[in-house]
Amino acid sequence: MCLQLPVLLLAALFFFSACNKKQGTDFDSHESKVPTVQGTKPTIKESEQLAAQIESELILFAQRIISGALPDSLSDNKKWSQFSNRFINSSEQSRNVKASVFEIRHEGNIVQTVARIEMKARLKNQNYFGLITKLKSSWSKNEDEQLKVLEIGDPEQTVLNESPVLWFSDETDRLTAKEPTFTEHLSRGLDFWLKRIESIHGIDAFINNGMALGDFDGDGRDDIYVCQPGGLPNRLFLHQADNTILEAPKKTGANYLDHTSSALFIDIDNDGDQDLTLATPSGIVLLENDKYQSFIERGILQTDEVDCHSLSATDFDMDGNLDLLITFALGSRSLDDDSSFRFDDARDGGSNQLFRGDGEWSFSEVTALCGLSEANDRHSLAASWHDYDLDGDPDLYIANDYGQNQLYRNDVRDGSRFFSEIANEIGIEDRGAGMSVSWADYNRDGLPDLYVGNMYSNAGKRITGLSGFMPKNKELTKHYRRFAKGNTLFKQEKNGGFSDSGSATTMGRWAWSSVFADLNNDGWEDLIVANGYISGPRPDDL
Amino acid sequence: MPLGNSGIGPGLDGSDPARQLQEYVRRGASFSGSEAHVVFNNEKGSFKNVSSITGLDSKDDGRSVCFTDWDLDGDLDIWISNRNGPQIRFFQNSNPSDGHGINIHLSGNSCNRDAIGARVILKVRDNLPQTRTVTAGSGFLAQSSKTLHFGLAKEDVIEEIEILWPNNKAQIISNIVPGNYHIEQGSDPVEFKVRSNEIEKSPNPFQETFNDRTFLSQRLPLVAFFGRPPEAKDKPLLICLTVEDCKICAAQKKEWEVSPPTGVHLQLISESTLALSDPEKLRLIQLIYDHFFDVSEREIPTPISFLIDQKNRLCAIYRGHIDQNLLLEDCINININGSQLRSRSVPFSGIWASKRISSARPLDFVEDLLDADLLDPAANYINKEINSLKEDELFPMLLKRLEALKSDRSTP
Repeated sequence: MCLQLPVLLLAALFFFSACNKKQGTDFDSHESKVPTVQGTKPTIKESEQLAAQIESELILFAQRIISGALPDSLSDNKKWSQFSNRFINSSEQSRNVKASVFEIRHEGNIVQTVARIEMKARLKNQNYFGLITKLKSSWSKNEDEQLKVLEIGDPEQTVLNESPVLWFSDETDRLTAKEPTFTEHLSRGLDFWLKRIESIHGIDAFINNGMALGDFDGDGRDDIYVCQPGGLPNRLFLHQADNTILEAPKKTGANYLDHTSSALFIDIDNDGDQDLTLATPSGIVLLENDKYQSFIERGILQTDEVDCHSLSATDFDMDGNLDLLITFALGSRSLDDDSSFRFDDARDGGSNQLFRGDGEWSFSEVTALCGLSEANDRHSLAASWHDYDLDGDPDLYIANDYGQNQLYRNDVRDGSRFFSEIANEIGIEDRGAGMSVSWADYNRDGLPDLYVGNMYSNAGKRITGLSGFMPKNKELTKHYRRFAKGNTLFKQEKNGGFSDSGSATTMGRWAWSSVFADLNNDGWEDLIVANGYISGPRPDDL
Repeated sequence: MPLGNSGIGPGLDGSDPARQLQEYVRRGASFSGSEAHVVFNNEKGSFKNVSSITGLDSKDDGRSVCFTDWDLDGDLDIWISNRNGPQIRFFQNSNPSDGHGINIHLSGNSCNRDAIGARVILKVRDNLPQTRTVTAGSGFLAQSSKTLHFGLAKEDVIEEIEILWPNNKAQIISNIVPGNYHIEQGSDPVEFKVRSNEIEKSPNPFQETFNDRTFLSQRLPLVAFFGRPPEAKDKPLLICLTVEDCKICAAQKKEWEVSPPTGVHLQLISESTLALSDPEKLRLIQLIYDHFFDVSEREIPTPISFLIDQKNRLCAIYRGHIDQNLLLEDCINININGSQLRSRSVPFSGIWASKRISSARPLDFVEDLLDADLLDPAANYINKEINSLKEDELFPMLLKRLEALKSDRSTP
């Protein structure tokens, strides 16, 4: 069985059974049971247990702010009172709070934390209101294992939002109401099917499956193709005139049962209709669109590894035929001692492959020929083509888990296309847990910029920030810290290099697709980050 | 498994954290779950977290994000795929403060027909240019619409659109107003029109419903654990485990009292009785239930039934109430194999690209028994299934492991 590893080992490193987050006691009593802490310096596990308890206390604190019941100790605090007042008479059911401790320090019996509090509610005037703020707090623990709040700091770097309407409405039910397949199959998540489909078919707890939009039936509307793990059929839904969706008839031939990580609608044969390609463990399945009615299988491009992951299409040599790139996360290479898995710099991934389109449904494997076999050994989770240097040909950015990313510049060498890997040179290696790539000119200066999806982990930030974390290896600590930092927005400078544009867009939580799009039609491309790793049937969260 | 030798030494508590993590998730634990999606609004080049007012801050385990102006009203709508259910969600853009938007669909002539790689620069008066590129594959495992969308705020006069086709030919378009357009390389824009469908757009006449049973593609010999009563003779055996205080169990029993299942020999086992008489068998049932799936120690729904063929091999697992017709059909099909069996073993119909059909490996089940420290049942199983097991090339290693575990146990 091909087991897709958990995307981020860092989280595994931060694996503690510490998160039996118990509900704290009454905030005003300032006391709560804490584990016995031996000596002055707690272990990481003890520190994590404290963080979990302080988080619970801060949730209670936030609940008091949002419900207007400010703790006595803060009744004179103008800033917190002001926030609390904003929520007066807000609808109780709409209130939502979240607290995340992302920094923790221990000095003797004093614990100091920095946390983020997120609150939202529907106000009396029906407006939607949200608030995100950071706060410092300090706590003491005594020999009776009691946790006591010493100080709650002022809110800092607060972000406020208020709007009479939500920008988007969830219309899933309306769009899918007429399609029984949705109820029978897609309304249920992976966890349901895991217990019902043998893993031998290509389904496992860590599997990821993508989605593609394209106009299959030539009516001018985008249809939707939903990829599925092995044993469940991929689904092609046709976009109806009333904007609802109905599944294409069985005879269309789109219901592949092989695990399909990603799919693309592209016109491979340049005949004006949308063909379909699928990334499966058997290789890249090529499907020709036959008169907008059905698909004809035109072959399977054999790949060197079975863990086909992300498909992208381009015409890198601009001969008019589309080319295909497939990335691999896992490799099957046997590890010798020198190449063993390193969390911060893994070199045991599968080798990505480039297939040049030669027309008439034929493709040539040109990975080595084009220079792409250089350092082609990482866990590549995403790739996107973009002419970043505006020289007229598409370049390639690959986001890798457990290590640095790659930018392959498309050059001409001796009359042929050749890729040079220059991510370090131009400052976008972004060593981390890369999961997503998106290009756009967000600041409208004419130069393409880049947003890379990575993991953001409160636990990771807490633990790597502890003075006792890997004290002997500062360099490695720096890398580990980076792994918990989150997404990176790279702004392209006039000299062709890139600069990290700071912390405003890093906190995308456990980010997957992290992409640019103008969501409010103001001409400036915004960012959306889809996140969340695994919400299992058991609520206890690691 | 690469995580085992991760170069970072053992986990902080001396264990193998990756394996522990995987086991926790298989048992159903959450891990960075129920996180809300995040949206950053671009305010003229600087970003602000506006998640709470977007309606997009759903707590799904989101994966792919695809954009398209689904209803062609000038703004972008979003499809997001999820690990949890519903596996896809549609978010319609309903922002009334929206300005205008323009959609442009390109078709290449002297370049690839999809115009993938084409860059379009839109200029309005007194403002910075906007750039979009036709892309196939971005974000994480996602392909958005190839139709390009530009937000125009309140602007309704577009000064110029410049298209740089993939073969470096430039095309300038002026005198265009907000709307939906199709541009053929070298030609003027034409209004983009949706057509009626040629393809049948009604629900599939043959609707598939999901039955909560797994007709296994692998045949696991179980004679070591479930003997055949003589009265079963040459019929398949249906072993049904019931618990007290279970409405479905009671209803199922009542139904069978009135009309016993045909074609099978029914054996009802009460969990409470079994817990007293043979608690090890309960653990075995859990192991059998988990064996085929990438889960562990998940709660077993009740009643749970196992269909066992005449050769004492497990063929199907039923959760909850059993549909009589389905059971009858399964019994008729109990000896199918190859692609027929593979089709029957998945809940919905479809096409396989892979022609390779995996077969059962009883050895894996013995490994499960050893993992669970059930050494005697493992030895018993090996004894009973020696003929099929010894064909496996890993069989000698399995025996070695069993012996090692046994001697571990006997040394204090």
